[in-house]
Amino acid sequence: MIKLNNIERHYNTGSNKTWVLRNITFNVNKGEFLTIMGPSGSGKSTLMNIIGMLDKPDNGEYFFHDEPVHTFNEKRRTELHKHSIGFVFQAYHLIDELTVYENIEMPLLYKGVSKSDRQSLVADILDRFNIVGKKDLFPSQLSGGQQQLVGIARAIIGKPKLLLADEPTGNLHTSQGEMIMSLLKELHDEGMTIIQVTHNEKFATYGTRIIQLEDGFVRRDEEMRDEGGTA
Amino acid sequence: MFTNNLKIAYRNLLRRRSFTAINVAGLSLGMAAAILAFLWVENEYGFDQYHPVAEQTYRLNTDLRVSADEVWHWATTPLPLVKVVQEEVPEAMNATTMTANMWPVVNLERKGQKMRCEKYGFVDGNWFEMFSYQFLDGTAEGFQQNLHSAILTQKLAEKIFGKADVVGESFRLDTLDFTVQAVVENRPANSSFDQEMLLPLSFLLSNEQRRQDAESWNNFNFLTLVQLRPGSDLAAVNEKLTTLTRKYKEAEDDNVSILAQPLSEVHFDETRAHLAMLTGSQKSANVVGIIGLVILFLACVNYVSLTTAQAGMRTKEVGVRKIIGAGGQQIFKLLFSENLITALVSLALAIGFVQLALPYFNEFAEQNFDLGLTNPMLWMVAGGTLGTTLLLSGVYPALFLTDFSPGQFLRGQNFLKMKNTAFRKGLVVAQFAITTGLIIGAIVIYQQQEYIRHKDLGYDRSQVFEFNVPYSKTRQDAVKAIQQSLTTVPSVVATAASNMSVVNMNSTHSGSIDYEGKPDDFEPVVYQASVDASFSELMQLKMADGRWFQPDNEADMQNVVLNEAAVRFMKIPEPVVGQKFSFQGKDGQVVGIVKDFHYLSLRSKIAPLVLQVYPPSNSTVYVKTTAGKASEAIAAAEKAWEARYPNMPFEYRFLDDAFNQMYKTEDKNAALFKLLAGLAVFISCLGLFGLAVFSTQQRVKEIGVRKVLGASVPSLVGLLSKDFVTLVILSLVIAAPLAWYFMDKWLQDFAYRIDIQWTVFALAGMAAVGVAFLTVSFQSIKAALANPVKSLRSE
Repeated sequence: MIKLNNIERHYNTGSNKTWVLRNITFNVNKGEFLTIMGPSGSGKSTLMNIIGMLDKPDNGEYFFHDEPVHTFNEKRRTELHKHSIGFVFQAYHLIDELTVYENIEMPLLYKGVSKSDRQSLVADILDRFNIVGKKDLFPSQLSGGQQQLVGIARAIIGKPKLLLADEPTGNLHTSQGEMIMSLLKELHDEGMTIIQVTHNEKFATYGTRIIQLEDGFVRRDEEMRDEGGTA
Repeated sequence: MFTNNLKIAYRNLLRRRSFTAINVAGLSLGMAAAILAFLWVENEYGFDQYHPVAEQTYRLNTDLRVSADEVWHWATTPLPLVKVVQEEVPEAMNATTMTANMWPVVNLERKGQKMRCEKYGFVDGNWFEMFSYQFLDGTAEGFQQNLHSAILTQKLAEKIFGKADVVGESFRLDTLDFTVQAVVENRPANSSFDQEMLLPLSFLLSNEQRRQDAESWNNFNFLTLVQLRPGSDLAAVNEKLTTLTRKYKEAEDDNVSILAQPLSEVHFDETRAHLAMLTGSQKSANVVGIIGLVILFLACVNYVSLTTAQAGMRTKEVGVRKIIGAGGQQIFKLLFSENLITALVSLALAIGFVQLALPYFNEFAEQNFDLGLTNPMLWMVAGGTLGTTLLLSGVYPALFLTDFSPGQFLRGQNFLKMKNTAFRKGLVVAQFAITTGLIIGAIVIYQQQEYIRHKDLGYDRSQVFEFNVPYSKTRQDAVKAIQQSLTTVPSVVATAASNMSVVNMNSTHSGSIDYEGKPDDFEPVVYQASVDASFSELMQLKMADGRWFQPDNEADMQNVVLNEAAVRFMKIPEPVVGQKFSFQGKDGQVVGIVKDFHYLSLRSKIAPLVLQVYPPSNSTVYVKTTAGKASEAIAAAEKAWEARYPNMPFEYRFLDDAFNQMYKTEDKNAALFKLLAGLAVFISCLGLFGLAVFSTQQRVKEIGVRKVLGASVPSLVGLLSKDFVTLVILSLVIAAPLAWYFMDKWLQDFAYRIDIQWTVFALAGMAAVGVAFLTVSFQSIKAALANPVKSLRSE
């Protein structure tokens, strides 16, 4: 599904190049739940942004479903990510002026889904996530865990092929974090391809594979033997 | 999608209440000012266009060449021309005529109630065919047949009768009874013909003497208006008219030309201003239009700079929306709907302001704009203003925010760290440059006004009032009798008479002057006035040489007194006093030279003046009162007046008022300008205040850190205010030379004027910096006094 070949990214600081990603090469298959780990500054977020097509690599090739994304201009990339990728953020990034319902509905609006379809889709997901009673509240009226639930609902309502979660539990208490992680696992079990970034060793084990980044290089890439998380 | 955008925009605006309030306040004020200004301009440019045949209508003007390099331009023609045009010029479909200057005012009376009417005219039978009047009651039919009929506007009818349905009722006009034939709607604000009362021309011509005068080809007293066939060749028409006029005039010289001028150009033709028509200044109309745009621009600048300043707060929203799949266009629409809502709310408020301000505006502009909400004009102008505002302030901020890629957001950048600080600073500088320029202008105008008001005119106008004695064969006796009866009144110091008010003796003469040593080819043009023996003393004129006219000196009836300028101009040989001097057929001598005094507006230099004593023309009587006894003197004068003119109201004015009246237009423009400058300062400060609030918010953390490290409150206030004050000083540097240039140009209109001192710029600069500092420091002090623990904890 995803094929990264020798991806590199650097920033210019003064006259020096600071390398953020070096020589990144790996594939992600459909249905995988990949965890990217690594210390601060190791390039996790940059890598996520490149996979999410929000950023462009300086060198290397990126194929998404065999499409050469690295050759696309911004408009085509936007078009592709809009239809194929859902995003979940550490800081939720809900829009403060919109209600829960409106936040979840937003991607459908931009996709041009008809009003009746939007209503039924949003109603389904509210129901599934057990937040029907919160639909008219604004983000500031929710707990962090609830906000992240809304964030996930918003990310998956458009039925993306890939879900990118950048430290989805980073701002949450452990119990809420666990709730979110089991939800991600559930989605994975239903067949969703997921890539998450986390600092939490325990939450990393919810996935099927872990990639360790360090100073921009892939240090470790291993399949989890033990299917499923520990209780 | 659209309702969704509106809903979100609404919530956004509500959440940022204070910014929204500042935006709306500034915009609505700016819009209200612009709407009023544009209404004025629209009105000026649309004069007379509402008549159905306006496009085909032309006024016939006269050009009279009086010497090789002087042509007189008149708006009037001889009366017989109107008939000749219809009979002998095939291009003419119709023609009509009006005259208004038979008598400057008429006195009306109804049941003992006296009033004066200045706005009236005599029209012929075709008048109502060519010009549009809305008849409320009665018709124009048979108007010419009934000599003593009158058509009144609703306003005048109500003034005379207290009601409007007065057809068939009568009132007294001077000594005759007139019957109301019809009542018409009040004249619209954009009508050149603002007569309140129309009388039949046939009445005027029923007097044999007046008819002979009027029908002479040598008297140019009638406005002639013709309707030409569409597509007529104007040059050919002009030629025909000129040829015909010369033929009937039986003049050997070819110094008369008749020119047809489109009705649409008549209003702005100030060289042919005529009593019967409202003339406007195109320059003033343009200035007012520019003023409106400037104010609107200032308000829009506020909006743009505040909206882009707040862009930082929108970073997340725009970023998230883009990641979730919004296209640039969709973001643009969302942000634009916010601007649209703000603009619409401001417009609604502005229309409210306009309605509130309209009575004052009308009084100020001497207009009668009627702007009910059903008036299409209001909506046209409001729509134009809205469009301009959206263009200036709606598109840019929306584009600015739209053009932002989500990757930048995720990398933690926000708008503020990007390109636009320089842009915003540029806007502040532009705004304050305009504002400072206006402040400088206002100061210069104020100084010039004060200069005029307090300049020594060479005569003493204090405690003198004047009144006019109407023309009659016995006027000379009347003037004398009134003066006589006032000599014994203790509150009256002195009386004098002249043929026109001393504040503006605007009458020139040439052609009859002769004196020893005058070159044959020199035909001096001089100002002239008739005075009396007591004039000099009452006005406290100073003699440079010789003497003033003496009472009861028969020889002085032939003699003249010259002013110094006249002596210089005509190069009268020494000794000047005693030189023979012929003037208007009288052969006398120069008996004295009076020191130059300002008998004209200070716009003009003191010109050569020839003074003589010609009692039949003296109509203005001056009364100098003892200090504090003015009302007694006025009462005495009124009594003397009533003994002579029991049917006419007594109207007097103090010379101070007459003098100020002469500068009424200037005073009005000055008042408008000061108001504008004040508004500009206010709007600019509103914007600056918003930016200060915002920038202080941005720096809350910095302030906290500095405070923890030991910065004092004053040093923080200085730090926060410094940037803005620097910008304001920069704008002063830009504004000063521009303002100097334009104000110097403005002053050139005055022959007597102030020099622009550097202190003006210093004063304006101090005012601008002071106001800016006060505006900004309010926020700075608040921020500097805040407890740093709070601001740092929130991080």
